[in-house]
Amino acid sequence: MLNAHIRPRGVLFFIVGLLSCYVYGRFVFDAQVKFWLEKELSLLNGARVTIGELNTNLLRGELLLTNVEFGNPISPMRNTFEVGQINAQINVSPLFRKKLHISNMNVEKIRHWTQRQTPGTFDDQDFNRILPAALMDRASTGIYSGIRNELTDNPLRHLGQLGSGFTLPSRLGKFADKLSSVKHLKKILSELSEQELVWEKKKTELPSPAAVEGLKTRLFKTDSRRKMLSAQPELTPREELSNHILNIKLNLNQLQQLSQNVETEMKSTDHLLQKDISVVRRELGIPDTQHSDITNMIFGPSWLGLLEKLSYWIDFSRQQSPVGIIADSYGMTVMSRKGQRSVHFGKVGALPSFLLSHVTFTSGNSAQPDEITINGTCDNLSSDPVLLRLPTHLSFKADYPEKGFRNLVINAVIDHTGEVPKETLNVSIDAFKLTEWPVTQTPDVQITIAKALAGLELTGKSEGNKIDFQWNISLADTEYEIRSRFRQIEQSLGNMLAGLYSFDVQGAIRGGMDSLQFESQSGLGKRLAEGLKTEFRHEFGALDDAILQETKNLLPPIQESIAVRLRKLREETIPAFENTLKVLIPLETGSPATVPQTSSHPS
Amino acid sequence: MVIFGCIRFLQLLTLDRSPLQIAFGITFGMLLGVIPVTTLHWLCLLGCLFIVRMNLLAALLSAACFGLLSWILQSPIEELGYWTLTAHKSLLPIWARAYHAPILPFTAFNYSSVMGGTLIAAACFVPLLLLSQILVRKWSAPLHTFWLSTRIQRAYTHYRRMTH
Repeated sequence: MLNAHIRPRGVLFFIVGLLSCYVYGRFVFDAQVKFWLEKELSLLNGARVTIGELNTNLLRGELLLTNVEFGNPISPMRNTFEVGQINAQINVSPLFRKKLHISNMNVEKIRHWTQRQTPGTFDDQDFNRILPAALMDRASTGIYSGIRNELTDNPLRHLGQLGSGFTLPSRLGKFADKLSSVKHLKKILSELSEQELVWEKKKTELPSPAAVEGLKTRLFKTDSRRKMLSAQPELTPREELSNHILNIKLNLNQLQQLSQNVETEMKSTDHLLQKDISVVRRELGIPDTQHSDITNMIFGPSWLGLLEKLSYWIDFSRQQSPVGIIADSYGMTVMSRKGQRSVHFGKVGALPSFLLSHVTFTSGNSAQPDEITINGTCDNLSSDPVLLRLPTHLSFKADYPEKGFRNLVINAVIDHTGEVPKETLNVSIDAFKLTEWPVTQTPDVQITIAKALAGLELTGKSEGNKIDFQWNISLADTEYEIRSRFRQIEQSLGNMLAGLYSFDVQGAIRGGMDSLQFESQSGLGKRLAEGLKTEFRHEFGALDDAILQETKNLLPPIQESIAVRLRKLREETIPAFENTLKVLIPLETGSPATVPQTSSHPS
Repeated sequence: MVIFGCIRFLQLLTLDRSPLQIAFGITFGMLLGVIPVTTLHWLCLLGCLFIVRMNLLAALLSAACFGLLSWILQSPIEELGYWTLTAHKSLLPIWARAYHAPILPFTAFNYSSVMGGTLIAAACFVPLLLLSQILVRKWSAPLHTFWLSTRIQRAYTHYRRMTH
């Protein structure tokens, strides 16, 4: 009866399947996990990660990894880090609930910049394509676009052109329309051209000689005829004459006013030339010497780069442990990955699907005096902080005397337990060697802080879309490297920076993404700003004179056009009105005998 | 020879050919096609497919057809699953309990695509079983007659006679 519904062979296959699972877990699982871990860690690291050995014992919840090498994408034969041993204690019971809880993990014997046996880069081109940039080079670009222009406009970038000189006439021609003086004159010309048409039309409307003759005849007709005409709604000849005279007088006034206005406006062009000098300097990219501190501009690109790198890691933490929604003492987190969403549920306080309770990082007792010393802890790293209700704490200390790197302390708190993600970061370094820090790099001028002993203090927090970061870098024993194709500029910059061995660079950025406020100041920025005013005053003076002269050279063609039109107005249009007026005024006062004969029509 | 091997394999797959067994095959195929692979309940269904007597050929064809259909309708299925998981606050305690229960999380029910696929498969199970049973009763005899009349089946019959 049972055989009618069940296949005995099917049951056998099912049992064989279960046995296969056991064999897989016993003999293949470790290799599979090792392969998977190497691939995932390589994707995270941006270069090959190799695990020497991996042993798991799921019944006892033990995981042991030895000789984990994190390759460096820039130097293939070097490891960014090498970890001697990673020992993790996994809670077994959550595994049946598809949860991974690592109660304790020790990352020991950490060494920096060790030699690799095989290259850390991948031969597989397809895999290389999906590999991200090196850990320290990743950045979220585009998020600070609002302040990008402000920070990347380095006033020293065209300084070299002071030495090479400018081909001003050809360059001025390209942006002549932006010059106030040119714009002003063109506006006068355009208005005058419009007025010219209007007055030409009005000139044709002036009474012709025949019309004046007719008017004169009608003016001296009999009273009876006048009375008869007055009974009609039409104007009497005298009224008509008065209107003509009034109109012409008004027009003459307007014409004279226009002529005077144009003349005055043309004279005011000279005042605009000074304004044009700063316009030309801005267009040519020549430094504006009005600033008292140019720290924003010289360190702007560096700050921007650091901010973008920092924001990448903030984004990364928010993707890996997202904030959730709390409703009726239940928490819910939504994670989006590879086009599908997974929802994590639980009562507030329940265990998340992934939890790394405590990790200890140590370089161990075996660390040599010339090697990096690392001590750190990380607590409560989880996939669902909204359920765990505990923020992630990261504390890290490193010391590398061999490289002049003393007492790095990083403290970070990642609080994604609420509905708004919050991160706090404090970094301090007592001393580190700063080398080859570019201040400005242009084909003409390169200023680099070649060597300095520096200290760093950075504090900051981000909450939702708002950030508030402040930093202070103290530099001492600073040596500069100034290079320019132009000896004079090189010497001037050398004079500017002479004696500036120690200074502080302070900066702060705060606000929402759409209203970021950035401010920074430094001794170097102030010195350079002051130096631009003093050291290059003769060069800037000469340049300003040249700009003034070249700008003036742009004006004569427009001025000539205006003069032609103005001359026509004065010599043709105004006399035409005056002549007509001269003919009409005697008609108004005198008798027919005294009225002069109209000779010609002013056209 | 390859064709004959295929025909023989097909005959093995069609051993259980009562209308109910064929209908079960179609319905189980639908479940396997719509529910995403690598979930615990999908593996259980696969086990059932081999253990319970049903028409394997029908299951295979049905799984392929419904798999293609669910791939086309991936987006609405995912939306349905997400809506089910998140839109009802009253269901939160149930989901939370299931999420923290042993074994159940391996069904990956908290994934929107799995929840959507499983819901649609469950909703279609009984109607499809009844419908396919009716259709099989109506069409199995004519289809079988048609199959016997095809050149492939006739060639296979001749081959069997010659070889035995």
